[in-house]
Amino acid sequence: MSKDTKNPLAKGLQFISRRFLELVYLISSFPIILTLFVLVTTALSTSFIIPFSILIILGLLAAMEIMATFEISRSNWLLKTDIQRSQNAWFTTKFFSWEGAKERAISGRSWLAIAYVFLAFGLSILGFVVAVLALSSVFCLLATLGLIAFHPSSGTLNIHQSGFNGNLVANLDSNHLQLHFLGFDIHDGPMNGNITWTYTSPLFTFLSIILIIVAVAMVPLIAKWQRQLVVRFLSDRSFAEIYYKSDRRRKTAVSVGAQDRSRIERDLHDGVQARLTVSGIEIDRARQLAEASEDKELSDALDRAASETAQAMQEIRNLVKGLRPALLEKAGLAAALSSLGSKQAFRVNVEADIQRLPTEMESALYLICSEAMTNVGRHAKASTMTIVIKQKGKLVTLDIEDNGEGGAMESEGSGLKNMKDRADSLGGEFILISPTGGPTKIKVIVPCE
Amino acid sequence: MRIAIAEDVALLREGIVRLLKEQGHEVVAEIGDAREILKAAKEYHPDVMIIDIRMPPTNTDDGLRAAIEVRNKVTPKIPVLILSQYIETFYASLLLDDDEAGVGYLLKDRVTDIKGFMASLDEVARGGTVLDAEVVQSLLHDSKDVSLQSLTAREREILALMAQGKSNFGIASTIFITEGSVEKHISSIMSKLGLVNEETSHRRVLAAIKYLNQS
Repeated sequence: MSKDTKNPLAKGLQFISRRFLELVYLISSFPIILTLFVLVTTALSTSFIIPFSILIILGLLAAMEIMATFEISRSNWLLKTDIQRSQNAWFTTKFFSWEGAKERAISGRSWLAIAYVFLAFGLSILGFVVAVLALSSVFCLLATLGLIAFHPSSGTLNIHQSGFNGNLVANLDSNHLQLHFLGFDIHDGPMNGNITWTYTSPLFTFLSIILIIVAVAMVPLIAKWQRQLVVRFLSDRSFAEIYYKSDRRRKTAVSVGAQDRSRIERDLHDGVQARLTVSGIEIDRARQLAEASEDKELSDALDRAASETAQAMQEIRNLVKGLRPALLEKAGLAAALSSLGSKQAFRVNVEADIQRLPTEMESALYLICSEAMTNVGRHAKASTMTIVIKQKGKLVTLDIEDNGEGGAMESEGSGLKNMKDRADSLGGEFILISPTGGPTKIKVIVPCE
Repeated sequence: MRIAIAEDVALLREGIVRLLKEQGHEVVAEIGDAREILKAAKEYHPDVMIIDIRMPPTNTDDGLRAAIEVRNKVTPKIPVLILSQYIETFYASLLLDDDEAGVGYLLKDRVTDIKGFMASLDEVARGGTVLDAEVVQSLLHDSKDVSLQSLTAREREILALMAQGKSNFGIASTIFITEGSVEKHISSIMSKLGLVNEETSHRRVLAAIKYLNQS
């Protein structure tokens, strides 16, 4: 499924470069989000005092769009995510107008973006600490292995308190860290202490390695939290990266559904379809007999029976085909969709340069497309439909567009509702954009492990 | 004729066997598993084999693959009529890739038109080519070639009928025109598709199908 190469060296390099980019992300987050935090808090607090408060707030809300774009790009660039910016501008009205003010003030997106700044601020501090920890743990490891040698140096800390005087002296050389403490308390008398750590010992190497492991585990985790904040608060959620709602029950339900469908299909094929064909043969035989005996009435009745049977065979075939098309199983989505498309009254272009996907996913995507074709055939008055399927990392996207008259609505019991349910069953997203006058666009994004 | 039939659903197999016997044919082998097809072909060397695409062991396209194997491994070549619950141009092109003489590909429903089915079976056994009307429609629909767009509805209809193995007379009586106008239509189709006239109708159709398949 994944396009990752099997070569362990390449995999290792990829792992390191990922962690490195995440580290860069975390370190850069701190100053960037700190700045944003300061700007936002300043704007919010000054707006209560000075006369231009409304303007400041509105400006802030409007500026959040730029901030969101920037943060999304930063995540996409450094974390290699595929978070989508909003397809349209956040605001459609002029800034200096009553409608403009109203739109910005009640814009959920802007307020969410402000919430992002606050939440990300907390996280960025944690991220920064972890990143520094990660870097210093590498440094420690090198030092304990003797690959980095410290210049001998020392520092002294003087402690003077009422009734107490003391000196803490730290000496560092290429192997040891020594702490000497010399103090005198007027009640307890002299207090002395000496500690020496040989930091090039295996114990310290071991501790550094533990530290590195912890940091390497933490870095992607915190990067993931930050990324989730970006997705949830800044991106166009509907087009956003999809999280694995890793719901085992749902997965089972899907595959049980697929099994059921395949059993029903099997039963129909071996039972009803075969029986209908045999009935068809018998009817034709009877018809020939009726014709031979020149019984016009009987022959007409049998003609009607034959045509009804033919119709029934056609309907069952369409039904079964929808359940589990043989070609889908054998040759994959692209072939099955092209074949289905060629039977439509309008032209269907299929672009699906992908590898084979899990069975349930192929069949759900196929059924979504099939439903879309039925809809277009019934309502859209379109001459062309384009289906594009792509796999990008762990996401599979399906785009369907037709040049019909648009105005499709997703209501209960409609084909579109079925399509959405199928996308849901895969833990995916379904988006319909169908303005009156067209074109209708459908986007389905599903996660694929 | 000596006929072998491979169809795993006993009900349907028996129905077809009864039909064939009634029409005076001899059924030399009844096969319920695709793995038996090649063996039966070698053992009985029937005049024609009727094979269902979907058969055990995997219930996908085992029948088709066995049919192709029979075509490649048994000499002299045994004509094969493929039956399928669905028409897929993909399968049709697999079949035609090999050698189109003595190949048929029909929707199972066609069996219920006894006369038509027998005519198709004869055509295939004689070394002709029979393709279901749906195959031709799909191929026409899929084709991106502009010259095809220039075919009239009537010409498409006639092309589809030719592909079913119908003679000029057969076409004429199906769509109620004279044989002379059928010929005119056919030469118009051939010239629009830029094809040279060949002697037999099935060859011409085949040329057309292949041409469509490529474009």
